[in-house]
Amino acid sequence: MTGSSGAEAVVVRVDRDRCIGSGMCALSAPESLALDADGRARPVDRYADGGAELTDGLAEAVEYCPVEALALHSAHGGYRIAPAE
Amino acid sequence: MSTENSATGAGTGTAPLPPMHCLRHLEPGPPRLAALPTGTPVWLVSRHADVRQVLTDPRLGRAPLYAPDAPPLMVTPNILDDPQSMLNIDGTEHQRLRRTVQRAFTPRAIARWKPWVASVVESLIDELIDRGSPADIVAAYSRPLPVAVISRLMGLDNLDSKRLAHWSDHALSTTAFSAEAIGTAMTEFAAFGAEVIAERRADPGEDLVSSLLAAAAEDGSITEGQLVALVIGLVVAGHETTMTSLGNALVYLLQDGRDAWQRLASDEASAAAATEQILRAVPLGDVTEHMPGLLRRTVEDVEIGGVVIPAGSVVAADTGAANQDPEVFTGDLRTELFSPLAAPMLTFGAGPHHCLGAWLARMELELALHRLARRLPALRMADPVEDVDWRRGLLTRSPDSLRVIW
Repeated sequence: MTGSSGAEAVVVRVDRDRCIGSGMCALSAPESLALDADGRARPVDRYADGGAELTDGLAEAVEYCPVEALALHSAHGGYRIAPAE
Repeated sequence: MSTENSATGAGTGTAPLPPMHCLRHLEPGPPRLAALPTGTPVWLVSRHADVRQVLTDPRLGRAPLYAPDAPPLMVTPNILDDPQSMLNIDGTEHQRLRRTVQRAFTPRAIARWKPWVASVVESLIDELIDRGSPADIVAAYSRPLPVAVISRLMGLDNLDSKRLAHWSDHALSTTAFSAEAIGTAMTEFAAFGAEVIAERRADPGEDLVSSLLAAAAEDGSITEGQLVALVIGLVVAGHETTMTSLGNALVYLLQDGRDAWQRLASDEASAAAATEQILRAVPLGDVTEHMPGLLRRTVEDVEIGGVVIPAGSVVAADTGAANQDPEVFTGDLRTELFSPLAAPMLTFGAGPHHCLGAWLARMELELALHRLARRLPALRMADPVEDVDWRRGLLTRSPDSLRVIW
């Protein structure tokens, strides 16, 4: 689940104050993001802490979030990968 | 009809109406039953947390409002009742459609337009000053600005503003026009949309229509009817609501809220804060029996605010009431205009159908208020607010004209 060798493991962070619960991320990347009972997004499983493979669906979720509430970070270095600062 | 430009005076009389910043809202409380003008029962939801739930909970949707078993919603349907519209599609199908345009409307994408929008704002103010005081600020500023912005974004350089106003008024009519008149206008508007699509397919450019067509072609699941509805929906939504919000903001700021004008001029951050508060506290339209809130329909039993609402019920989320919920907001524009919001406002909705153009609208309003206050520090309304000539019988209400002096 951590992807091919050399691919960097990522975690995704949700700014829950910004999140408007569009649900687009949970539809694009159901393996990485889900909607909580309060309608806001939350990272699931290894995407919350340990880190896992950056999938196309997750990259799309981050790019398409209507309020830019999602950020990808390196699981190890901690630095932000997307969106660009 | 088309040359008369607006719905003013049609249908609902010409008695003075309160300005939008003075509307009384439903006292927030538990969901309660009322009825639409068609007799269909509707659950009115008014508290901030409950409204947010209605808009984000997947057990409520827009598509079920137009399912074969759905009860009648509108006496005279308008563009919001088109089942092919993005607004009335839910779930994965909705996401695929929204995906064709979403990338152009993220905060970052919109921020790239800022210098250009500022230049449009400045040139409209130049023309206003050249023509001199008094002036109609709606004709000179609050109407042409959003029209210019959406026209440029969509590459509609030759769009006739009179035709656009005619289509938009019919698109959002409640009582202003007959079903036949609305039907005719919407057929013409759809033909215009289809023509724009055909042109861009033949000769793609850098505009939003070209990029959404490319994304739709790649997706492969989107119908022609959905594309036409999306294009004309963007044209209407892209200017009508911003024009309404800016017009009503000026009604407030150039009279009752005039004390704030100097600070609006001082810096963009103040204008940004004021924009958020105005968007929260000044609704786009009257809450009427025609539109008691943003409508959804339950697909199963759902508990909202302690009340179990049965499957198949129509629910109206009253964002205006939620935006004034005293548990969350103080509601006082006079003292709070430059304060950060105590909680997210619901003016743009929430959930899957959260307004696509929210960031564009915010940017236009911020720039429009800040630059106007900076260039015309003495600007004020020429006539008492009781004399405002309102656009009537539509889902939105704003001044049809507004005489100002400086």
